[in-house]
Amino acid sequence: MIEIQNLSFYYHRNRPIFQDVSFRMKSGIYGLLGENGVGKTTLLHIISGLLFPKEGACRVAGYQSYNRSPEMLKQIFFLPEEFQAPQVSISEMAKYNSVFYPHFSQQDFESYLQELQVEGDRKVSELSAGQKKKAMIAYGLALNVEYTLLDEPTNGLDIPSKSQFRKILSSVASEDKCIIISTHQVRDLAHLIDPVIILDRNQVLLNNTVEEITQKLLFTQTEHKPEDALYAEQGLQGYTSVSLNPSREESTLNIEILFNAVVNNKQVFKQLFNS
Amino acid sequence: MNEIFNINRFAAFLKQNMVFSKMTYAYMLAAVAGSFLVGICMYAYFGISIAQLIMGAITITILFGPLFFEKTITRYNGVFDFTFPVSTLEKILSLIVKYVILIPVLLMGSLFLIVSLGKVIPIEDLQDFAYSFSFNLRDNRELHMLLVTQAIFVVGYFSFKRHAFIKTGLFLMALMFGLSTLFMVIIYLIAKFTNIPDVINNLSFQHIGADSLIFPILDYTVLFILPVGLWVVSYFKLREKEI
Amino acid sequence: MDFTGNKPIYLQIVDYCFRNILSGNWEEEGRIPSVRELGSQLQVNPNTVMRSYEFMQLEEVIYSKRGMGYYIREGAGKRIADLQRREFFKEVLPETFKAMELLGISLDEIIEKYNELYKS
Repeated sequence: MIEIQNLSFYYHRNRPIFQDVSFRMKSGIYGLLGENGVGKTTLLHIISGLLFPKEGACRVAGYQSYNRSPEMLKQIFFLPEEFQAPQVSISEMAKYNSVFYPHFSQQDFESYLQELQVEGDRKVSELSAGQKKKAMIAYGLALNVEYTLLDEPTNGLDIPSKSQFRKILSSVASEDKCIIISTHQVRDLAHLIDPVIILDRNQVLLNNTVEEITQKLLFTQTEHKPEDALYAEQGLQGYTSVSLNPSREESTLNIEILFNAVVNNKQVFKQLFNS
Repeated sequence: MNEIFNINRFAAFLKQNMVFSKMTYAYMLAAVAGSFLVGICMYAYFGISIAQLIMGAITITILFGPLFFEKTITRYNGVFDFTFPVSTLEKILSLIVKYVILIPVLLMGSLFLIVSLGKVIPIEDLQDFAYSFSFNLRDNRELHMLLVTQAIFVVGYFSFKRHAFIKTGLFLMALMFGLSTLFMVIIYLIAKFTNIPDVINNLSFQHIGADSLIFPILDYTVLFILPVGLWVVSYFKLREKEI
Repeated sequence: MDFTGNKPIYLQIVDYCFRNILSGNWEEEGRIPSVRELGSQLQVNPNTVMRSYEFMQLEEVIYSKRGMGYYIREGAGKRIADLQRREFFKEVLPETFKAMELLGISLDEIIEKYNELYKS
């Protein structure tokens, strides 16, 4: 479990990123959403011990993340959005790095490489941007760590690769894994994300499972705009809208519209989900 | 204890470091061999031995190694290193092993081997050139100075985000200038207020007793503190580094 | 698979399973993909597939054999047909009646069209 307690953080004193924020993350495929600059990447850096809380605490599996304890780090894999590729091949990297991660599976690694169509024996620095990313994804997911942090993993991936990534992600998800994906491309990961976290400047607007969200909210696609919709968007198919769901009707979560709705009515949604 | 240092983990880490740096080491060996070959040519055609130059270049590489071969730590290139499951102590120790032991041994050792080989191959120019190399250190002090200088620049590497080499060098010069000025002022003031006009000229340790134990103790303290203390500072700098 | 419309995903997945069972793609009384396998195939969160499987178990279309996976029940075809009939009367027909009222189409017009199309 990742425990964020009264966390405050800033790069510059007069512009706080987090102010006394508290929440938890357990198992699942977390979609970490938020507008640009709200602190998604910063949060991932704090969780992995790269940045230290200015106030408050961030604990991962009971360890204070700023201590960078090897016992904690061997449970974490963080793939940043942009990174400098290693000067060795991904197979070599896996060979020498995997000993530090107790649950690494060579079998998974090889099958991911094959499914994503990445050459394991070429130097990662020589691969194209998309191939580099896929190589690191194959390596990272094969480590089978308890906490996987991915920052915009689908950026730069071609369409078939995105599809393969979704398949692999779905098969990797389990009760003892916490996978956090920070992304703007919600469409790339629709139906995989559960729970959903929506961050805002200094606050967490939403941190709920899909079940909780679809119990409180109804997502519909209709010809005409529903009268009491909390938020609606007009498209070719008609109106896609979010409304309160007192009768607990079942519907499919539309993350994109949820995000837009929340961001346009921050206080309403924050209160609704008691964040 | 497992948290801070684990021998198996450390050994695996050293192994990983070596494999990932294998090209660097290959280039180093090639550079040593290459410069020796160039040296032979220079000696054969111009009668000049660049032995001192080669030794000097190797010394500089050893002294400022981390600044040459370690990348400037940024968010772009540091994430995998910083999230790697080894302790900060193990990271610093691996740097020490690499730059204080491995690279110097590699560079000096390979040069020594090539020079020794050159001494026995019966080609006159080659042998003469080989004999122009001298591997003796003046004394232990020199080795100590090298270690201290290297450690100072390692602290600089961790302290400065960019242009660490220049900044550390300038810092060192400023420090030396500042300290000398300070000492001169102090001695001037002592001379002025103690009414002993020739105190500087007469400054000697006869009064204290040259055989006193205090000097060796101070000596060895400084000998030990300086490079080790600086590496300890580097450890704390690394611990505190955020990216 | 594209998930569209207002129906909850897990029910759309159920429909997908039903299609496979009725078409014979998945053998009667045979093993169906595991939660993980189907999740990966359809690129959805395995929790959602779990919900679909729970639904199908409740409706006695499939059953789980401990440690071995999920299997299609005997007579699943009939149960599915029953379910789909139920759904037709509960969902599809009321929508049709609503459209009829909106567009002013009478029942007689429907019967006429029906005879036309299915004359043979």
